[in-house]
Amino acid sequence: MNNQNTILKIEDLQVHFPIKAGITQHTVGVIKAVDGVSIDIRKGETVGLVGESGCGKTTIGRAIVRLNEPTAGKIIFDGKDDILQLKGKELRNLRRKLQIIFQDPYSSLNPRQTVKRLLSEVLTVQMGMNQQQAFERTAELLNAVGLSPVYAQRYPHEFSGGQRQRVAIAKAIALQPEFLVCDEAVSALDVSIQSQIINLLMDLKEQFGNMTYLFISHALNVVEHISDRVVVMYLGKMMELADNEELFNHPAHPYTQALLSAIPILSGRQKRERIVLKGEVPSAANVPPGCRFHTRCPYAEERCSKEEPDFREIAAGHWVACHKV
Amino acid sequence: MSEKFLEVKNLRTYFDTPEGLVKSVDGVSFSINRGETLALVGESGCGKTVTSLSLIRLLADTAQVQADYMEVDGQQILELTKDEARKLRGSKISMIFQEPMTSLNPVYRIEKQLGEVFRLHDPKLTKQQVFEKSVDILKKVGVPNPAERLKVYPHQLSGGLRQRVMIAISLASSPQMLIADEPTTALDVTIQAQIIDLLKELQKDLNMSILLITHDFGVVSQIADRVAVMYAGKIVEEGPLEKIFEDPWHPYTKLLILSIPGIKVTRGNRLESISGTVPNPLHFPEGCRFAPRCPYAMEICKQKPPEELVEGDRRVSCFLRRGEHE
Repeated sequence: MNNQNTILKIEDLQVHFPIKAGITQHTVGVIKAVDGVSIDIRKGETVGLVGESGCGKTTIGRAIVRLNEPTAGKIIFDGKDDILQLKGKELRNLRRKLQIIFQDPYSSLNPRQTVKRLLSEVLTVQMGMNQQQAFERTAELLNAVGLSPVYAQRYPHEFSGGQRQRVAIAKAIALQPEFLVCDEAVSALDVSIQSQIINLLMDLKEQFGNMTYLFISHALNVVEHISDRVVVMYLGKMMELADNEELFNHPAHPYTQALLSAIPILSGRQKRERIVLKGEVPSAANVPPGCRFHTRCPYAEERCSKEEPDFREIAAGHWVACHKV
Repeated sequence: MSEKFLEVKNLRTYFDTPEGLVKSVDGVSFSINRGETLALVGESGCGKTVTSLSLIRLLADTAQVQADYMEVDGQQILELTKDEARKLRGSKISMIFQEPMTSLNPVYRIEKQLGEVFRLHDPKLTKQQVFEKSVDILKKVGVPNPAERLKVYPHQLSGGLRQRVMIAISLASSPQMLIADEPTTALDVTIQAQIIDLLKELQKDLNMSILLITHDFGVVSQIADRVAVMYAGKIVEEGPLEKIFEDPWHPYTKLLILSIPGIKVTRGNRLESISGTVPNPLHFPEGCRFAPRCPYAMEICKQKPPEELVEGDRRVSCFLRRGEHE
């Protein structure tokens, strides 16, 4: 897996949240949101991260930009520092290179600042520009995301959902980051607007030269469209990792197969047999022993409830955690 | 089989606001047969939800609802008194909403919210009978351990279970028609597939009609028999599901289908997108309402609205299809 072009290396990342109870707030349990995840992300690629709600995909995205504190593991950026050890000025410098776009642009933009202030604040504080330069750059950025610079005077509430997401993207790319985490960046939008934003993200990648995306989403058709490689997560662990085409054409893990079969099939596409999973994701506070998917797996046997499967390579670049493969 | 359950002709729902008259729904006609599923598709703000709320008279008095004709199972909807309208909602038509968290009451247990429906319909039922009926219906919609689940509050359930409880509540009155307003939008794909299967199964068992409101063509393709595409308060195209998908006549329908990844656009290629946004309902364009965003717009499109063209089981409002240029 080691590759010279690796821009972000995640090693055995664990993010656990304590459950506290009572007046004394003593810990009564642990939510294992992310429970040992390792990925190498190469420069310039788009990695899709999929899974059901509660599987820990957002937690990984937030850990990368240090919005939560991992319990264990390393995240190495550009072959140099462990992001998780950085402090103060070093961390601020790193944040220029790593940016995140959230799902809901309405709650991630400050409602009391105009777009001009939102963007120029980023530019003056992080890039050391003066006001005049920042305003000029703001106009360029708005153009880049397909908004007219006259919108700079507006407040977030004056925009539609799609426009607001464009502002959030402008803010994220203002610092010319090398790595962009898109956390459900198009999930809240109408299909026609969604396609505009997907096109925009793909254009920006070319325009800004070799940006790397971690694209977190539960919309599998969107991930299939935009990603080079795809990671499938379940209850805090990776179940499968493969190149886009390999994963969508030859899914090996039963969970991936079930997920893919749930994508609505439209005309002109080969019909897959639908595997409807029973029940819902178990609580991350009480992870099943053995393979964590065995409680819902249609092929589970005794071994699956006892031994945890290794994450192994079954074909070049195709990794799976399952006893039955 | 092809008995009409609901027929709407020229429905107009206007809101008088300080800025002017907002024509949210402006001349919509459609019908639904017994046991059939009609999907109403369109972007946010095109009037889908207002159409459905007009049908069951759930809009506030500030709304001006007019229609040439709006009949459900032989009853004229607009002539009903408020009381009769409430009875209609209770018995013939039920609705499930997009967000199960906001449509369930957070301070009452599921038992009370579900049992209420049974008690209203038959006040003579004993506590035990209500409980048994509640357990039965939860079982029917696939809630595991129904007896225990009756004792919990909505926040203790996951999104998928909450939506199932909502469906149970709307089915408790054995309706003949279900209006499902974005029933799966807030759910994961796997749960979404379960809910769609459930709706299909229940429809078969009860010979229920479904009006599905959604912007997701993926869901539409799984369940709908016919599709009506709405834009800016009007239905621009309607027809059987396969025909609409294979050969959309209206440019808006075509662009909507091409803007979803994974249908007809292959990976890495550009998706179609519709430039601009839905027009402000205070100032609709004079000609065809889609003309300002339409890549095929001609001179005539800006001058007058196209008349509806009916061909077999399909209809469309577009000058291109009509072959008119001048």
